[in-house]
Amino acid sequence: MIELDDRLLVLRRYAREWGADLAGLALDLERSPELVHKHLDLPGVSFLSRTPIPAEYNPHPLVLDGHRFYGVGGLERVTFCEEFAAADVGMLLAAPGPSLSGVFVALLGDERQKEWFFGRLLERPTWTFFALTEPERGSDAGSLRSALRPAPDGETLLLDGAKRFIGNAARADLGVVFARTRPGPLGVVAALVETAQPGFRATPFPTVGLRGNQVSQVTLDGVEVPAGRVLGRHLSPTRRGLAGAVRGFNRLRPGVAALGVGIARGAYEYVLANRRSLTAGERADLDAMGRGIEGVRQLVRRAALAIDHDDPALGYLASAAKARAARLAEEVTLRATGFFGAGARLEHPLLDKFVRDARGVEYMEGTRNIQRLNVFQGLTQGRLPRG
Amino acid sequence: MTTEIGARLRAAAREDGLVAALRLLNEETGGGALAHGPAGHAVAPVAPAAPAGGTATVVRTIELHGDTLVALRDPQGRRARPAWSLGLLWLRLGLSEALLDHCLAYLGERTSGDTPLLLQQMVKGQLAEAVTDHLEIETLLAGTEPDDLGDDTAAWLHERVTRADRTLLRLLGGSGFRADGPGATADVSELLADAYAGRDRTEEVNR
Repeated sequence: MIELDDRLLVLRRYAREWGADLAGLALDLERSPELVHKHLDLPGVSFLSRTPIPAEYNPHPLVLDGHRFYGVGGLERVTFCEEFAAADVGMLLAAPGPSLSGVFVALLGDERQKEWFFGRLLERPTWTFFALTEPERGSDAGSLRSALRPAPDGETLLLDGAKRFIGNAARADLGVVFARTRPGPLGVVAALVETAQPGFRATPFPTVGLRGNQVSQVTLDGVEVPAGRVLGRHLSPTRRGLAGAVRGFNRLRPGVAALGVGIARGAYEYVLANRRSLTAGERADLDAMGRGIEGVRQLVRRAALAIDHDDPALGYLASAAKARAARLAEEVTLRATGFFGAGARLEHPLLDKFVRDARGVEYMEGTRNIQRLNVFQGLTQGRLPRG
Repeated sequence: MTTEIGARLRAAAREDGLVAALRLLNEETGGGALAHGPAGHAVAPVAPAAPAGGTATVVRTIELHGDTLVALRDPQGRRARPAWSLGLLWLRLGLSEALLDHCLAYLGERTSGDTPLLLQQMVKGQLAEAVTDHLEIETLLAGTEPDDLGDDTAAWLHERVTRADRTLLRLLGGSGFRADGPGATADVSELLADAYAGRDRTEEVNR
């Protein structure tokens, strides 16, 4: 079992309190995603708007009961992700802040890039976006076609392409875009892009769940990118290319998995709070759901610790956790409706929302099949720890 | 219900979509009144005019690909007739088959490397699972008379349709999550099962 230490127990307690504020807004936010602008002062939203930012770039971290929090550690991240998702994953994904882009900037950025990016985020609540997925090609970074080419002036770069399923792109000021400078795995780069640049267009489209995230399609038509905004220029091509991207995705995935655990827990706790006089059979079913949630939570924490310990098995552990978390979220939310009988989703809008949001976990950061293939690679290449 | 009506509902759902099939279901088996589920819920393509002093309330408005459906609660609403309940299963089977058709087309066009996703072994296996679910549901429904279909069996079959749909939706990645695509139809199909299957457990809920 992997337990939280005193510091993370403090974070969990506060995040749970903050989550309670967010849960009350969940349905309104789903109807009107712009409502997030009115709640930037809520402690939970304020926390998200300032994390993750590494300590050296954040002179004023959040201090809770004497502990400092920057949101950068693996176990720290999955702890608050689960708590917020158990309340409302919509607000977690709607909030301003470094979010996924922050993880990549921290990993691949040079000093100037980090100062610029994190400095912008500390000035005021600022939304960021993270653009990898492309039409027809999905989230396969190796096959992406968005292109970053030198501008005629030779000073800057121009970005062309299209992206799909990009959360917060329509409300963001800046973000990370994956593109290609040349064929092959070394030609994959991540660049910091400002949405105010001509040629950047983001259009939200409707989704079945996770509506607070305002998932968008993005077109990039000659968007100007200063050469200094390509992440990892100070690194060797093998560390900043596709391999660098994969390292970054591995660090994101436990957090996404924690969203699945949180959604499942939210539905489970909804049953506990709203059903009375459970039969012995129902109690047994509910207990089994609780054990299933704890099992996947442990997988997620194990992957999170692999981030904190620079464990080379991180990618495989993170894929195992994410695949199980996506399955857990779908199964527990569907089973939870059974406790309320006919009309469960119509009469219990929060439970209905958990059911729909759970479907979204599947496609974030790679589908279950992609994760299974990665776990298989770890198994056959002897990189997955097996005792 | 004759198997012929079931076949028509299944074909209408597969070819014309959820709203057209639901209208056909109401016309063919509704008996002139709106069908309600065990806890008094109904999902209908258009807002039926509530009679003055009626007990129905609208609990949700559902937009689906340009059509509007309403979900109602009416404690005094007339329970769905057995023929309607059986027809709803044929309808949801047809919708699930349409989703499979969509997956086949989508996965045939998408490639990973140089190989269509459709030809990847895991994808093949999951499509085989979904069509096997369809075969099982179809076989159980074939020849079933309305009065032979118990509530628990119907609920179990609805769950099987939902599981098949979920298997298929996962193969669509993010496109299955768009509200302007087949993933939205699958969600409304689940809401139909929600309204019309299962037991009335209203008294077991904290209020």
